[in-house]
Amino acid sequence: MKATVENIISILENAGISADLKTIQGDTKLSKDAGIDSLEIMSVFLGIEEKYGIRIPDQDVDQLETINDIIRYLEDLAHKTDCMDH
Amino acid sequence: MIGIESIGTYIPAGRIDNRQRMAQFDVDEAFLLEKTGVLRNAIKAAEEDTSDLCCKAFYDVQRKTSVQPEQVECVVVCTQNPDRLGLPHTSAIVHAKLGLSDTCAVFDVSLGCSGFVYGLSVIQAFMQANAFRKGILFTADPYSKIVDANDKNTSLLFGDGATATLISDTPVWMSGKFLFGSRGTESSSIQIEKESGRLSMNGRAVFSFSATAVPRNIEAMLAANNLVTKDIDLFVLHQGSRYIVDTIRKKLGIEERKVPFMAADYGNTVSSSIPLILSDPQHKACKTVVISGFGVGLSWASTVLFEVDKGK
Repeated sequence: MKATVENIISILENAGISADLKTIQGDTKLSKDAGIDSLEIMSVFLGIEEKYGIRIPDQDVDQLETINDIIRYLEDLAHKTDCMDH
Repeated sequence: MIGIESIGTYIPAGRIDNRQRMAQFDVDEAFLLEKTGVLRNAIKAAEEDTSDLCCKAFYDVQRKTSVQPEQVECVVVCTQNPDRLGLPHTSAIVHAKLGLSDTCAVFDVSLGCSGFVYGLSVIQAFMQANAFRKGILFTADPYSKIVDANDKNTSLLFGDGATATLISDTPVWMSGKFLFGSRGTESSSIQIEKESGRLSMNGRAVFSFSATAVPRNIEAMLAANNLVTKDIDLFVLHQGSRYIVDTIRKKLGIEERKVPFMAADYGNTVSSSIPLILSDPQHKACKTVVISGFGVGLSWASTVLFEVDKGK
């Protein structure tokens, strides 16, 4: 479940967010700094769930403020899955 | 041959202007216009109850047709906000207020935003089974009874309204095959909280469900009717919010003009949202129309309506 900044930007693009994608970096706070509103955020996380075939609980979504947070979260999830498989 | 002959509507005159609440909820006008899509919420008068909304919608369908109370053989009221606490059933109260005949069958159906589509299937099947010629499907779910005015998730969305759909043997619209769905495991996503008695909604759960289950359901329903999206003149989707309607439209790859959002001046009227759009004269030229309801339950349903003599 290796994700890159480009992967997540692509999901933001597909979600049709109104914010300017060029201003969004890995450490940009998606809601507070980029101005992605509460409804668009739902669409972004649905896009992530669909792309990576996972379910992200509401309490985890609240902690994922930046693209880097999301990438780390996906890596942790992959690590946990690997551990369970072995 | 049973189908929809005419639709009467009633939207209360009262309004809550959401532009005056933007600071309270930390939103701007663009959010109201482009995301919720609701600028004003219709609100019933304090003395109006659910049955009164139904009666006023019936008077509208009477103005549009020649239907008389004594001709009505059955009534179905779709609501989850009935008069009193639901006992007696609201349809019985409507029966009394409209002076319907002793031989008229009446019952309620408890469903939210999918209610019109389910209700249409229920009343048509009931009428066909009993050889009835005229029946009325009411939708009336005044959420102003249960919405917490300080809850951003729901307070900016819901409005009051009612419809009365005359189902008869001289229809203008006939329905095709229906396709239904339920996901009770997520029923708490939209519910009345035990302690407060107020509505709560997990917006993210409802959005994810709507954006995934609904397009799949519509595509499967079209396939069951041997249709594809380009055969359809109009898609009447439940008006949950402008954003969810736009999201489903994009997932289905349909052009914007075929998927109206018309709730800006009255809000999400739950099971009334679909018939309110169907009744609008501007859609008179549409011959093949998809209707899709989804929400509380979680529950969803869709079908296709064919204009009589001109549809496929």
